[in-house]
Amino acid sequence: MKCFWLFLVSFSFPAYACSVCGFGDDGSRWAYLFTTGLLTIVPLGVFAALGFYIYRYYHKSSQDELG
Amino acid sequence: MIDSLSSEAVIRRRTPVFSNAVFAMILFAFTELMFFMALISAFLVIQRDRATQWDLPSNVQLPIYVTAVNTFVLLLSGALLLWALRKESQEQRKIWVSAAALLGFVFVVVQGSEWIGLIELGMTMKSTIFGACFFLLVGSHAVHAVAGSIALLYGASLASRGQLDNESLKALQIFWLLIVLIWPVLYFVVYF
Repeated sequence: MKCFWLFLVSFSFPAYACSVCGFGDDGSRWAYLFTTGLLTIVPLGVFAALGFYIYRYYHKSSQDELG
Repeated sequence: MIDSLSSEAVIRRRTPVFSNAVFAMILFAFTELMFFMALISAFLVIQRDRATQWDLPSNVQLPIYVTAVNTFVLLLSGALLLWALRKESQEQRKIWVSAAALLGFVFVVVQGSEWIGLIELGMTMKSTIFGACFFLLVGSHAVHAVAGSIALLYGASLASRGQLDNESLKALQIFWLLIVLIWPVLYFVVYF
């Protein structure tokens, strides 16, 4: 299975149906990849921060109950 | 005795982390954040494409320095609103929230006057692709800034009636801080 994914990643090529991959130059492709990465990471970061805040809230309240 | 203690612990554990108002505002602010991120993404992709006619009209220069001062005004407005939560008295809160709203309106008015100057020089949404992207991005922020300033005024009126509680103020803060903190990013992306 790993070999399959390795093969798939090694032989990937631009999708020409995509307006950025097909016609965009390097600068625009870089911006596309960068902002796509950012748009992926930001929601995960927001949810992680919320989860951490809730965890800390309950951890602190249980510590207060014990203390 | 043990039963009453454990029931008290259960009640304390069931205390919500956020009030409904704050949680709703967090969700709303998150969707707004993603909206601005998508606009920034579109702006950068179009800007970096060499095939795009990205240049400004030759006689147009973006008001970088005025906008820098205006950015400071907006940041100051956010700081004033943060300071308002430290005040217990409704009278004090009214003063700080009103000051934040006033600075919000100053920001919008200065931005508006800049736009009028740019439009008079011939830069409109239809003149160039840059113009379209510029007015879309900065205009979206301005709409939010107007809505936020009105919300702050409403908050100040609540405080004058002694009804601005901590949770409502926190919800206001979350929305306004999103508007305040996203602006330096937009300024950097659009003006440089």
